[in-house]
Amino acid sequence: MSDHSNTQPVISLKNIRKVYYTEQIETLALKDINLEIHKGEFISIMGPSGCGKSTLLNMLGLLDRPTTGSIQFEGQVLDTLSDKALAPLRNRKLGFVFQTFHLIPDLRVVDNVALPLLYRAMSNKERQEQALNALKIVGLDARVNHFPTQLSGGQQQRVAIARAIVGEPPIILADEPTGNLDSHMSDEIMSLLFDLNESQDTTIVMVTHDREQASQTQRTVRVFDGQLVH
Amino acid sequence: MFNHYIKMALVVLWRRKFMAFVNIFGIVITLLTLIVGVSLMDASLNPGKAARHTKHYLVVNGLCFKGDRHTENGSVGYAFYTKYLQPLQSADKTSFATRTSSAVVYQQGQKLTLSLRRTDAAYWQIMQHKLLEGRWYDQSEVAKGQFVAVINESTRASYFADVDALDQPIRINGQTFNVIGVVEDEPETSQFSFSDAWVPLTTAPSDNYVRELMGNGQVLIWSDDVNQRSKMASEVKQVASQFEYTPDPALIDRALFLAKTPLENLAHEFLSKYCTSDSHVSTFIGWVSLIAFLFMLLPIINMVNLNVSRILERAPEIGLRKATGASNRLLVGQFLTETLVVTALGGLIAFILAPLVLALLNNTLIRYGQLSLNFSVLLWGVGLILVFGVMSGVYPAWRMSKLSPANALRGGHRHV
Repeated sequence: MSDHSNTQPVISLKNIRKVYYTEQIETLALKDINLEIHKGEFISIMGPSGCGKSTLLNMLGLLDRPTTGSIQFEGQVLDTLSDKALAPLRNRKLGFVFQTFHLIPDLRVVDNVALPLLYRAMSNKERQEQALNALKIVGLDARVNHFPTQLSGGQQQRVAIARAIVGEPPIILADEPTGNLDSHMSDEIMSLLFDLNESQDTTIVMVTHDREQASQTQRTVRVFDGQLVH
Repeated sequence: MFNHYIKMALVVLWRRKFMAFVNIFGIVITLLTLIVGVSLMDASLNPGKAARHTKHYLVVNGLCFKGDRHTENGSVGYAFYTKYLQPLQSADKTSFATRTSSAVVYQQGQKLTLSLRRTDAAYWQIMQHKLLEGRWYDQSEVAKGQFVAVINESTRASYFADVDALDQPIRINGQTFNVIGVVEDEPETSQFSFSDAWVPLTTAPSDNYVRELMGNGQVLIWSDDVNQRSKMASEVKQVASQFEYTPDPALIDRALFLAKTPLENLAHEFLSKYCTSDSHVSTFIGWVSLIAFLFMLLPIINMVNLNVSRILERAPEIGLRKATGASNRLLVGQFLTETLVVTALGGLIAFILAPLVLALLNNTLIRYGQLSLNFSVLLWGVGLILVFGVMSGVYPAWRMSKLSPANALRGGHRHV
């Protein structure tokens, strides 16, 4: 296991606080979070349900803005960046894998995988070729013309991983990627993620409830009541 | 990218067939009504056939006399025409004709109702009806008050059946006329050329009309040179300023009238402006736009509601697209395109149905109707589709763009 602590962090959260407001209540989701993610790390985030793990992952993935605090991405402070400026960062630097897959049911597998490339200046042919390569990596190149509903849960998650890696982002954020899968499928998904981390030096941050999976990662961050627990 | 948008639009439509049907049904009804409205306006503004040379002529039909304590309005009388409009220097031709009035004819014991117009001879030179047989009456026949008549082809068919109409007598409102010509039917929407029968002005049962300043007439003023039309309008304005009400100058001190283009004429009729010398075109355009907007508002609100619920239903997809790098601008583009595709589909169906509805109107409500889906109506229709699509798509797209990616992925629940 390599030591990454001497390299410059790719993502750095400083004093992050996130409060959700609804009409009646105010919920403190994250409090004073300071966290650095280094290139090539495979980190797991653990904690009980509702403790703020997914909110933390959303901050790391630039999917949500903190109420206070600062996010730095590859040294660049993102606090004042507009949505227009954040979109290409998400597109080129980040890949997402969700517990519920989030595949578009009306699109074929290959089109689902090619979705991030749609927002790059690429021809349809290039997009399809690159999506096919990603599907080969996850072992689903025989299913390109299927629709998501025609696949098993494990296969759908592999499609989601193909979509996350199709644009070759340096960071993958996975929110309980095996949460909806049986143990056999979970193992398959985990080996894919480990393989990506080792063979391509992809940084991976994974939210999980599974201690065994967490124990296999290089570092585990524990969250409790919106705070990091050391 | 655009192909993807179109594909998604069709896919979403297909997924929610009933909602799509309700959506498209509303659009079709709205656009169909608007297309019929536009077609009716077009028929008034660009009358074809005899009244087709709209760039050459102007019409003075409304007249209003005003004094400090007295206002009188109506149509132009013959005495007013001969004194103020016939001598116009800038006009190459002027004509006085009555508005159409209802007339009764009997044919083999059957009562037929016709529209009758009394005209001078110059009328035939300005309104250039297509002669099917015979001829029009001339200046000498008008001057002598000869009882001759020109009828349209439908009157020929209903009154004379298979018999040759020329030189046959036709009894209208108790007067017997000799048919000297048959012209093509003119649509009722063509206000100045339409009628079933035309007879010389001088055959009126009484000569009272000769002394009337205000009567039942419409004056057409013609310029051979289209560029001179504005000069005619200016001269008419000047004439209006010199008006003197000879019967009692103390009672009435000014006359308000205008030489109008078809658009100005439509504006006056639409706004019921009978006592004015202003064109009121901009007010008319404002009102028509407002009515069209209000008419579209209800289906737009309906479509906005459907779109908002559709967007919230698709919140996870929106979240995913944002997470994978779609900017708000791109997503707004996608959702606007989707709305425009739905609207365009509705518009397409409306365009397919429009000729059938127009044909129905032509055959039932509008005599000799010629309403059609011509190029300008088509162009207006496309414009309305765009306006409809953009108006019903902008708000939902804006709502969608306000969702944070994380919130959208959770299903769009309201968290700030």
